[in-house]
Amino acid sequence: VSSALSRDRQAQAYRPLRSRTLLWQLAVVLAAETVLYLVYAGVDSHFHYATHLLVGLTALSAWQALFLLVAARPARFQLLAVLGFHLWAMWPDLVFPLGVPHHRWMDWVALGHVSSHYLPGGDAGWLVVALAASGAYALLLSRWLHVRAAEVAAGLPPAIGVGGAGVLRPQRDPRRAVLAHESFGPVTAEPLVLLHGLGATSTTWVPTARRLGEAGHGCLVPDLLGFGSSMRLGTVFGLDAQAEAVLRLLDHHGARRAHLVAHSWGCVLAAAVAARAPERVARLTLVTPTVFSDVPAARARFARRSWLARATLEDAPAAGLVCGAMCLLRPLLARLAPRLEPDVPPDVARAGVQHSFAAYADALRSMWQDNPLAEVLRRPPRPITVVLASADETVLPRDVLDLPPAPAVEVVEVTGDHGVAYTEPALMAELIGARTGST
Amino acid sequence: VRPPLPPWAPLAWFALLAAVLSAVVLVLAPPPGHLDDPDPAQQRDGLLRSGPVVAAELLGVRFGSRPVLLLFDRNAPSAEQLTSYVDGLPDGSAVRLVLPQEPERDLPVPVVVDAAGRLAEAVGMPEPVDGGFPVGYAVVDADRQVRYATLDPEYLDNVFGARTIVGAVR
Repeated sequence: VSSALSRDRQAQAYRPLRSRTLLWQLAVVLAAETVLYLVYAGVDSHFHYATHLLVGLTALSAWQALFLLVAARPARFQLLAVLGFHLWAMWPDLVFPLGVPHHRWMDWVALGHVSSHYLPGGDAGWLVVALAASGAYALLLSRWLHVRAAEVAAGLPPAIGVGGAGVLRPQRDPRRAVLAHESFGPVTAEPLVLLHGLGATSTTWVPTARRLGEAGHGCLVPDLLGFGSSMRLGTVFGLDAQAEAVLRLLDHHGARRAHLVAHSWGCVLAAAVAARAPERVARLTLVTPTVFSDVPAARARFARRSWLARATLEDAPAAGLVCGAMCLLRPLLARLAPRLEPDVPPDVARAGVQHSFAAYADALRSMWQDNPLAEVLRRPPRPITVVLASADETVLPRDVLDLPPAPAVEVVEVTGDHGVAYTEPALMAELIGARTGST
Repeated sequence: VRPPLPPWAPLAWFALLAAVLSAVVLVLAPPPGHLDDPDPAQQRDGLLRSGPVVAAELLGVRFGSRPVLLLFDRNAPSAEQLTSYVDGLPDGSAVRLVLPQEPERDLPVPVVVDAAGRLAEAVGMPEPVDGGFPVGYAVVDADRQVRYATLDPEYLDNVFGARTIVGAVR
């Protein structure tokens, strides 16, 4: 799934830059612009033609740069859009012969059609502005291509959809770097590894891990690929890549195996690790795991609760744009998040925007495509404890209980909602500590 | 999986674009002719204005009962050109031809001789590059307000401009 997603993303991202695509667009643009120029020249209006072309080019360059930064891939119709933006800037001239004179309001709906004529320096002024804008975009696109080529040269799939800094800097190779993490207590050959959920970071587990560490349990709390301080690590974020990264973290600490503790989507990853390398897993503690006895009903519930989740699952382009815009506004959103989510600990709320769209999208898809959690609960390869929250509206207790899990799976129901992993760290530490053997 | 373009390609495209655009702007766009407005932005901008209000009568031209199209020229066009031009205007348009001297022949539209340029001054006609009598047109609406005044040395070929403005203020 991960590699197919990666191929899809690459194909989609590179399509606007293919030579054939660019050449036919260039031919159309040159032909259409020649006709437009002749029409303007035919009524002695060369000046008006050039002004609107340059204004359109300026607006287009700004749009294409913003799109590249937000969506982390080039916009479609790179050259044809020149004609589109030119027509947008000049449409009042097209309707003028039909009996509609220019009005001031046309400035607002036609890229400043009226006022643009009065820029100091006239067309020479606009030429400077348009060349500055298109030159800046050319530099940005060149950098993006350079960075993607560097990732390929390093043996990685190119990072498509990794916004923010990922547009301008290559992602790091997860085979050569370990997940960013915090450790608590004496990390031995069999530590606790606490995995966060979707749209979260290690902050989910830090208060719990601190308590466990103080009680003498060694804990590793990583930021998974594409999340938190590991945001620049990796270019694909499917379960295979995430599981490999977790296993490399164990290798890094010389841990033979681990007690995996996970929250929400992190439980899907924990199950993937257990399925991939059962010998490296001593035990699983799954807190409000995202597994569903009735998948279509749960998926519909997710879609109702989150527009972004629905749009992402439907591969709607708007999802990437909205998430990419959030990437650009990340510092502001991180400041606002605690106010928007007063019931969530401030650190956890701030961490809610510390991820790339690609990581979010791959994690979300892995809940619905080839989710190994149901199989692991039905045939547990290792001892498993499932913690369910009585007021959880994201994962209803019956979503898990109706699977049903194997009798060997211990099910504990606690009071709380889906965020019980970070709202009840003392309870979590007590539950986990009681189920942890030699550490 | 390599990107379809080398990193230098956007910069090469940009260099080509810069050359073409510079040629379009600096070479293809001609400088103002002697009959044009020194500032091309002011000429035939198509913007319906709320200009000055003119007197009810000036040099025999009555304003106020219906829109009036004033054509300014240095020499009288041919009768055929004027007939063709007026035919391209909305029905019932009031047209006056303003010249700096008497025409040598009869014309199909009323002529106003205004050597001193009083009408041009009243409607705010722009001054051409050579500073002489303007060539272009102005539109005064039924409330005697000037809604448009522009130089247009090719006004006889560009009847669509006057048609749109007169049609909009009727």
